[in-house]
Amino acid sequence: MSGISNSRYKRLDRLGEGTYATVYRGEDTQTGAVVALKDIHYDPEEGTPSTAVREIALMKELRHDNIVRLLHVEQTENNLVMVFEYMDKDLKKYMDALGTPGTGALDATIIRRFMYHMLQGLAFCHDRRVLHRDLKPQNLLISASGVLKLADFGLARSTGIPVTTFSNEVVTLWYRAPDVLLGSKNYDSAIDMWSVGCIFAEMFTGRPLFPGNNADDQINRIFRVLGTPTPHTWPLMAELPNAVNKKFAAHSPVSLPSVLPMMEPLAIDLLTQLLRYEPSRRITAKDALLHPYFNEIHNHHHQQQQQQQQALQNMYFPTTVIPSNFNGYF
Amino acid sequence: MATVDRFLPAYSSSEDACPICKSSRYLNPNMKLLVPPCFHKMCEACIDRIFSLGPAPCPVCQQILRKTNFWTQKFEDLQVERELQIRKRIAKFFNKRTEDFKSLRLYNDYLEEVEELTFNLINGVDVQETEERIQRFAQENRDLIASNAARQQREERMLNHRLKQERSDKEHQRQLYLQQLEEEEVVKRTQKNAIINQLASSNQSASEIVARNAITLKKSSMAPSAARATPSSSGPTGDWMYNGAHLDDDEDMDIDSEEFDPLSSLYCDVGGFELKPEYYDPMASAIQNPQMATAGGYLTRFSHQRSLEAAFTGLLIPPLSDSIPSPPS
Amino acid sequence: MVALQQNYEQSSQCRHWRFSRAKLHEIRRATNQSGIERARANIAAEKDELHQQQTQPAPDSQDDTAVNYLTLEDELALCHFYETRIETVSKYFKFPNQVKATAVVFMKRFFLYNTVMDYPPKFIMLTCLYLATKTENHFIQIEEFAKPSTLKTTPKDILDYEFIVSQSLKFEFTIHHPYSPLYGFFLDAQAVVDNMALLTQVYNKAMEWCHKSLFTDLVFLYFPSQVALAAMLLAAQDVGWDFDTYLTYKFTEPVPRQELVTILTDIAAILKAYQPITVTTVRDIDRKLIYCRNPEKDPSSLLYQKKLQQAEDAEDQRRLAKVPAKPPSTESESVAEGEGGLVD
Repeated sequence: MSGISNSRYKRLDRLGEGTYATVYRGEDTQTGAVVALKDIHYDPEEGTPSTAVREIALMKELRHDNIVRLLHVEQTENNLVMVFEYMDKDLKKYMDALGTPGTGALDATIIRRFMYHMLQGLAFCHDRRVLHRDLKPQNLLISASGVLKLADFGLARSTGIPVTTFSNEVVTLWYRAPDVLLGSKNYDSAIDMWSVGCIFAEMFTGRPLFPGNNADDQINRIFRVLGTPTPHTWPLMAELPNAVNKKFAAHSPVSLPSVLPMMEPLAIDLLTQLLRYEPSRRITAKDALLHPYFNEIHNHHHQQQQQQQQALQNMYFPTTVIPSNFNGYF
Repeated sequence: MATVDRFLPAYSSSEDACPICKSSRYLNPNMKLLVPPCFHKMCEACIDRIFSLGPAPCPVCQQILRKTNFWTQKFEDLQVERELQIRKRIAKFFNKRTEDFKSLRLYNDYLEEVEELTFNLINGVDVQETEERIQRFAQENRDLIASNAARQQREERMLNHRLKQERSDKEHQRQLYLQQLEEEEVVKRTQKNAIINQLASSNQSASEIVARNAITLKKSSMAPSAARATPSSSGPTGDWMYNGAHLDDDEDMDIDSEEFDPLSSLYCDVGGFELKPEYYDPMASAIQNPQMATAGGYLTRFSHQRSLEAAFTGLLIPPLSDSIPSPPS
Repeated sequence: MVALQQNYEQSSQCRHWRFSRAKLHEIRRATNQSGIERARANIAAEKDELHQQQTQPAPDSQDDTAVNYLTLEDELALCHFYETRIETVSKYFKFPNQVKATAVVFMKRFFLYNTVMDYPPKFIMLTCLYLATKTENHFIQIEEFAKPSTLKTTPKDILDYEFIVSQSLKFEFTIHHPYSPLYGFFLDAQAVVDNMALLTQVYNKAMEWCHKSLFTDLVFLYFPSQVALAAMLLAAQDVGWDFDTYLTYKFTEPVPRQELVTILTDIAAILKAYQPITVTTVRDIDRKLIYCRNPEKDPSSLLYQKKLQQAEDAEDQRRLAKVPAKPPSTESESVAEGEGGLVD
C-alpha cells in the first residue's frame, strides 16, 4: 500500500536461513559497500514478527564495537530488511577454517582476544539491561579484521522492572545455563555468562563442552563434569520447578585441568567462575574483564599507551600503530 | 562487457587441433590456438610462419589477415566468439548510458535499436544497411562516445585500483599480524622473566609478588585503551567499504572505533544516589515465589539499582532551549 | 581523551525525539501545512475523477472553496482524543502500563510528522497499540486483538498501517517512561521518610500524574526522570508530604537544586494545565475531517482506487503478463461515506 521502493541494496548470495528471516550478502548500490541483509518474513497472522520488532528496537540502541552494527532498516514492497555491517565468518566457521585442522581448536592468543571482545560486548549489553539469551558460536561473528561481535539479538530482551516472567525456552541447549534447564524463569544476565563459559572451553577444544541431546541429557552432562550440586554448592537449587522432588545421580566433580589440559591455570580459574552453579555467584561480564587471565591484554595496552605518549613527547610518531583488536588473517 | 571477458580464462580443450598443421593438444600440450577476424583459428606456430612477413591471405578463406588481428579464444562455440566480437565492436560506438536519456523509455528504445543492429550483423541480415546505420550513429554521436569511453576507462581504472588496494591491504594485514604475534611473544617473555627475577632476587614471599602484580594490573587496566583500536590510516581489508558515513539516516550509528572499555568506561555511571542494602519494596514482595526467583539468580539488588539509575538519569539536564535546535553532543 | 558520554545520550529518545518547544511547534506547523496542500491538490483530482466517470454527480457540498481544512489545533485535539482511547482499549485487554505508555508515545511521534488528513487516527491508534504489544513483550494474536466489536476494525486495517507507522518512528521502538524512575524515587526517598504508608500514598498519587503526563508534550521536552520527580512533587502537595525535605537532602548545593526546581515547576505547570478533550469538540473536528481527508490515502476514494489500478497495471506490464488489464472499477462510493461513525 505504501509507495513501491526499489531496494538500495543488491542481493548477492544467500548466507543463511533463520526462523523469521533470510540473510543475504548484499551490496549497497550507493556506496558499493558489502553488507548483510536480513530479510524479515512478513507473517500474515501478526504482521512484522514481534521477534523482529524487538530485535530492531534493541539494535537501534546498542552501538558498540563488539556488537554487530545495524546500519539501516529498509522497507520494500512486502518485507522489512535489516541492513547489518557485513561480517566475514561466524565463530563456528572461523574455527572450522582456521583452527587446528581436524579439531578446530584455536590458538591461545586468539582465544584471549576473542574472549575479551565477547565480554566487552556483553558488558555493554548488560549495562543497558539487555540480555542476549542465545549466545553460541554461530551468533558470534568475526570481522575480516579479526574483531568478534555479538549478533542475532532475535531472542534478546531488555530487563526492567523486577517481576518479569521470561519464557524459559531460550538459548540453544548446549549453551543453556543449569538454572534455566531446571526451569528458572526469573533469570538475569548470569545466563549469558554460562554460555560464555561453554564457548570459552569450546574454543580450546574445538568441540562443544556439553553437547546434550535433550534437556535431561544436558543437565546430566553438566553434572558429570562439574559434579552434582549439593546444598553447599547450590543451596537454592531445590526451589527450581524442574528440580523439585527430583533425585539426580550423584557425581563428584572432575578436575577441569584434566578435562581441559590445554587451558592455562588462569583460564581454568576464569572458566570455573563462569560455570558456577549459583547464578548470583557467577562472575559478571564487567568483573570477568578484570580477571588476571586478561593481564596480557591489559599490560599490552598499557605499554602501548606509554610508548605512544613517549612518542608524542618526542614529537615522533611510531611507524606502525598496531590495531590490537586485529588478530586474524584470512 | 570488456571487463567481463578479460577475466575469462582462454578456452582450451583436449581435442584441440590446428587445422593448418594438424598438430594436436595431445602431441603439443602448450599449443595455443588463436582466432582471426574470419574465425578460422590456427596455432601460434602457424601464425608465426604465415604472417611474420606481413599481411597474408587466410589459408582457408583467403581473407587478408594480419598477425596482430588474432585473439585468444574464450568460448568453445566459435559462433559465440563471433557474436562477442561483434558486440564488442558495437559497444565501442553504442556506449550511451541510462543517464544520457531523458526517460527510461527512451533508453529502452535505444537498447532495442542496438540489439537490432547486433542481431542483423550476427545473422547477416541487411549487413550493408546496418553498417551504414552504425557509421551514421558514430558520426552523429562522436563527442558523447568519446566522453563515455573515457568515463568507462576511468571506472575500469577505479576497479583495478580497488582490487589492487584490497590485495595490498591483505598483505599489509598479514605483515601486521605476524609482527604482532612476535611482539606479544616478546612481551610475554619479558613479563615472565621479570616475575622470575623478582621471585629469585627479592626476599618477599611469592604470594606477595603475585598480589602486587595483580594491583599493577588493576591500575593499568583503568587506563583508557585509545591506542588499541586505532586502525592504520589505510585501514584493514575492506575498511573503505565500512566507513561510509552516508550509510544510514541515523548517522550516529556510524561513529566507530570510539572503543568502549568497561574498565575506563566511555559512559558515566549514573550518580546521585546510594544503593542501600534494604528497601521497603512492595514490587519485590509481589513476586510469588521469591525463593525460586533467587535460585534463578534474581536479586532484588539488581532491580533496585535499575530503578535508581533510571531515577537519576538526566535529572539535572535542562530542556533544550529554542536557540539551540539540536540535542547536545 | 574522548569526553565521557552519558548513557542517556545514547538513547534514540534523547538523540532524535527531544525538542525545544519552538522546534516542536515548528515541526507540527510544517506537517499541518504540507498536509493541507496535499489534501487540497488531491481533493481537486478526486473531483475530476468523479466528473469523468459520470456515474454520480459530484456532491454539492464538495465545493473546493468550501472545504475547511483542519488547523494545527484541530489535529492536536483529535490526536489527544485518540491517545486517551488507547488507555480505554489497554484497560480492556489488561495491558500493563508500559504497553499503554509506549503506544501513546508511538502515536505522538507518528503524528509529529504525519497528519490526520492523511492517516485516520482511529486506525493509527490501534496499529500503535499493536506495535507496542510487540516491543514490550506483551504480544497477542492479531485475531484476538481485532476481535472486540467496539473497535470496529479488522486485522487487515491494523496490519496495513504497520509499515508506515514503523517507518515514521524511524524504527526506534525503545521508549523510556517515567514509571521506572518514579519507583526509583520511591525507593530513594525512604532515606528521609519513615512513614511507609504516607510514601506509598505519594507514590500512588504520583503514578496518576505520570499517567496524565503521557497525554502532554512532556515526553518530547523533558527526561522521564524529571517528569517522575515532578509527579512526585505534585503528589506531595496532594497528599501533604514535605517534598522539600527530600530535595534538600538530595541536593545540598543550592545551585543545582534551584535549577532542578525550575525544571520541576515547569513540568508541574504543564501537568496541571492538562485538560482532557471533550467528545463534542472531537465530533466537530471529525465532521470537518470527513471533507478534507486526503483522498489519495483513503481506500474508499476513487483517486485511491485509480492509483491502485495504475500501480497494478504497471506491475502487470513489468511482468509482461499478457492478461488484459481489469476494467476500471465501477464501484464508486462518495467520499463522505463510511467515515461517519468515527467517534463512538
